[in-house]
Amino acid sequence: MAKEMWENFKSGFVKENPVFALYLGICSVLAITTTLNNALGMGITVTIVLILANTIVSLLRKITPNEIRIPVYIVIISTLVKSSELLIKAYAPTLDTALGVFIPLIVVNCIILGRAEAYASKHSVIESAVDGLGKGLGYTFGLIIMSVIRQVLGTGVLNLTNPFTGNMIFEIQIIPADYVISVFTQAVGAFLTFALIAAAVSALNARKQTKGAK
Amino acid sequence: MKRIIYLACFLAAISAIAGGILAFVNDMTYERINEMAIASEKENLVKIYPSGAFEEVTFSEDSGLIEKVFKVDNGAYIYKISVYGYKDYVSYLVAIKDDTIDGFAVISVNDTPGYGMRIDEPEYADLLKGTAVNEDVPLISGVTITTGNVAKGITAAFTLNDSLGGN
Repeated sequence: MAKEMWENFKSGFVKENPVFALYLGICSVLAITTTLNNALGMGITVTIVLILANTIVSLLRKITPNEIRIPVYIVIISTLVKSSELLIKAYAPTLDTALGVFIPLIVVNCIILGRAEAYASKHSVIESAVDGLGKGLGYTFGLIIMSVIRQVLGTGVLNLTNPFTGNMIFEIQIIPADYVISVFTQAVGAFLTFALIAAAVSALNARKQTKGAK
Repeated sequence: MKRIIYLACFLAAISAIAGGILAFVNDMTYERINEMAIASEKENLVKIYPSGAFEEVTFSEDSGLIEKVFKVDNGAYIYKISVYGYKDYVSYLVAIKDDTIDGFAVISVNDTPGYGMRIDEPEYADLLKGTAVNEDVPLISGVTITTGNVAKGITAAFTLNDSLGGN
């Protein structure tokens, strides 16, 4: 069972990466991956909400009536998201201004409802929590890759600030300011980056499968 | 029938618990969120009163131009107002003390350089300063659309100032 859990945890990164292989929750990914700061903030928030949502849904799985399971999940998820929104507003206001409406929109992020329905409602509490952690980190990993590519190509600078204090942690100029491709900071750049990474992940998975078949 | 009642009760119970949790979190963060909101406004407020202490006031008025009101410890009220200028919204602060404009600061303006942008120059703030409640708000010639709308916001602030009991 431990091995199964580990396999499931690992699969969240490439094979079943929620963003690039399962294509879940793409809207917010395209919108917020302009900087590494936003990506990390969003990724961590979603991961925490996902772990808690999976745990609670799994705890209640035996007493939740089948007919109303989706409304019950939505109530649980929206409570968690609203709580984290209030906490972010109170303790990390810079993150709140950067992510804006995309924090409340975590409620409708398909990864969370999808995992609650597909996994947590059928598995034990610990397995569900690990699944939440794995898929959450997979999502964060996807966001980080997207945002690093877009920020470096679009602005030439890679930086990270502490969301609680607003202090700069590091900042490096990678591409001289005259040679940046600013389209990458816009929606077009988001689609391009997303499509290329999704194609690469899909090719990687296909190659693994054919190798496995031989 | 029994089943339906059971389902309704279950969902109601879950929602009630969720409501309780939210009330708790809201209670815990409410004050801090308010403080943070004031802190982000404060960078602008100190342009008018560098050493003042500010407190947000709740209010209701009809013009819809006034966004926020802050009470200052010296008895003045600062009004945060947003009006449409010539091609974009102009956001500014007006301090009213003793029924007279005591300070004016522009937060954001995106009008034509040399015309609408002139409201952001210190000359205009000096011109406004000292205007009392029943006097005409001074405009800048050639910038009548922007300053006219700014003046409308100031008139609304005077009206609200009266009902708030500020002086």
